Amino acid sequence: MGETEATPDPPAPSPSLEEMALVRAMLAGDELALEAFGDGYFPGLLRFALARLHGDSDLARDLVQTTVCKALTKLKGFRGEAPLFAWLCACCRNEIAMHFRKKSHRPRLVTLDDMPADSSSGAEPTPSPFPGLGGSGESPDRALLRKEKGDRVHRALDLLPPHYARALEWKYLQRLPVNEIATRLEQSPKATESLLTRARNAFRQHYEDLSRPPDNIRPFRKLEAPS
Amino acid sequence: MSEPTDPTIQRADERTAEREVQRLLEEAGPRPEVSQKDLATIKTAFRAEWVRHTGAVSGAERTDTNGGTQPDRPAPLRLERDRPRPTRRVAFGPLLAAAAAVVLTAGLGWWWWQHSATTPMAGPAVARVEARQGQVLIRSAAVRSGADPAPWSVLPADGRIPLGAELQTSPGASELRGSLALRLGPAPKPGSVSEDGPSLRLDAGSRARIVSASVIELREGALYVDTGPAPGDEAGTGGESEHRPAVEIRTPFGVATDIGTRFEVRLLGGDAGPDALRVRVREGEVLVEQSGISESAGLGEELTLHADGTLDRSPIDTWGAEWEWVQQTAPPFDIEGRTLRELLGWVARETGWRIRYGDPELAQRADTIVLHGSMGGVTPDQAPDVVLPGAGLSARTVDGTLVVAPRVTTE
Repeated sequence: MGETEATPDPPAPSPSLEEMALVRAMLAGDELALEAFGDGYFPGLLRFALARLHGDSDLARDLVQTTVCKALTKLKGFRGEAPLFAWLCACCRNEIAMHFRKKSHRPRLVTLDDMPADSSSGAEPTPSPFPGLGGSGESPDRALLRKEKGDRVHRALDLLPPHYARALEWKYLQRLPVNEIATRLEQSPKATESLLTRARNAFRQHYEDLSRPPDNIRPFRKLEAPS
Repeated sequence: MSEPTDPTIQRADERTAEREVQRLLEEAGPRPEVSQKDLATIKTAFRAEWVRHTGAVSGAERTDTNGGTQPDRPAPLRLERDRPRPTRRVAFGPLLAAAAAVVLTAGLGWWWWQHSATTPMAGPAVARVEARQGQVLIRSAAVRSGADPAPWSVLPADGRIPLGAELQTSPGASELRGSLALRLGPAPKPGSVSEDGPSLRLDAGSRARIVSASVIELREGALYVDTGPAPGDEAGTGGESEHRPAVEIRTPFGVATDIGTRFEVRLLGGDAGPDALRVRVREGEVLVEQSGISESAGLGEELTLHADGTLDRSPIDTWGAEWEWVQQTAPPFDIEGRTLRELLGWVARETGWRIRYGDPELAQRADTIVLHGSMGGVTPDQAPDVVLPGAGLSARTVDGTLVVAPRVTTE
């Protein structure tokens, strides 16, 4: 005996409870919660809007601004049944749809003048018409799949509670040791280990959900011959 | 009852899962960065909405009320009901001391009220809001150098602008897009503003500080100044007060000073901040000074001062799409009891159009045709089409000129 037994870390609340607590604190006037909400969800929401607005940053900023300001009045009804970020994305998607309905917007037509000049006769290789895809000898199909997969990973990270996403990025992208992550999260290394496990599980769940085809897409059925 | 999982298998599963997550994250790389400027804009707007929604106090105020006065921060403005109730004393000496303390506290409180910037609307008013669209925020300046400025709050529609206040209009094309029309002027008595001061408009996505009733510091975006006569007078008929000091617009690239005019000052640049100053003159003349060198721009001229000190000058139209935001921000015009000439004067002034009467007799009658009713939210360029048919007149625009003529009816 004689050893001091380490105090066990209290059981961590589930992400939905944490998010509900954050929302409640913010609506009760807690400024730290307000800052955490902005820091945690706005960058992901901006990325979400940018991806749907073909990188129009001014429009994305305006629509995210409108989304979050309107969402503030509806947050009272947030019950944590879906991740908070997914809920905000749904609001943002509505806002984007409303914007285009109002403007009767049509997708931008790419004229021939916009396309890169044909340089097949010269020494310069023909650049990819899709920025970031197929630029390094990779086939366009493969490059597109890689980009889609990358987007899904980023989206799954955005869907996590912000500190989960940050912890995963610190661990697997910045290769920080658990002790360093624990210091940054202001908790014990043991609690950090268990947070990383929860974060990984939640990430995999979101990633699998995003990889699944939408419910409304059904496989073709064979047409039955009339009897 | 479920069978317990073998811990060795569980650990192996966890290791596989971890490797899988690691592989996915490494292949995808870090999430794309977003513009910090855009994030800051969204956060500012959200904070204002949060303050409005929750009635929450700012961080500065909360810290003060919880933890007492900080050395570099003004004492919190406390409401009378928040103060501790003085203990009742029977003895005469302590009563006198308490009374003295109350007087002293009240005096100090009054001094703070006069000098504190923690309340957005504190201090003497130097401008009043004439029209406000979308989201517009206001904050008072820091009281002492080095101290934090007061937090942003939403500017009320009928707000008074105190000396030193900073204003910010929301950028963009959404319904929150903010713009503001102010009437500058000296404050003859606390809380009120002279009716005939210059008109100042702030375009969406702008930030400016009202240094005084005649000095504005433009930090971002664009503003428009109209130092002409009060609305209702014919455009360009003068009527400017002799005693009014020239309006001075200070920017990081130079100072624009009016010489009886209507003009726009805009800071040009991208995400990295402004890199040029553009002045466009719609009427009169503007003096632009940079590092001791001054240049003047006249009617229909545009002057651009670049960060490297070079200057471009070019002619511009005084009407059209480039001035659209100015008339969109125009305060409403009440037509009840006003003459046709007054209405057309307002239209000309806001749109930049010249007015031509298609009939000499109509030009003479313009002062005697009195209008009745209301235009609602009609913008200056729409006003002729809305109002003139009721007076048996029609209007058309030809190359920046509004031609008004009796309406021709075909029977």
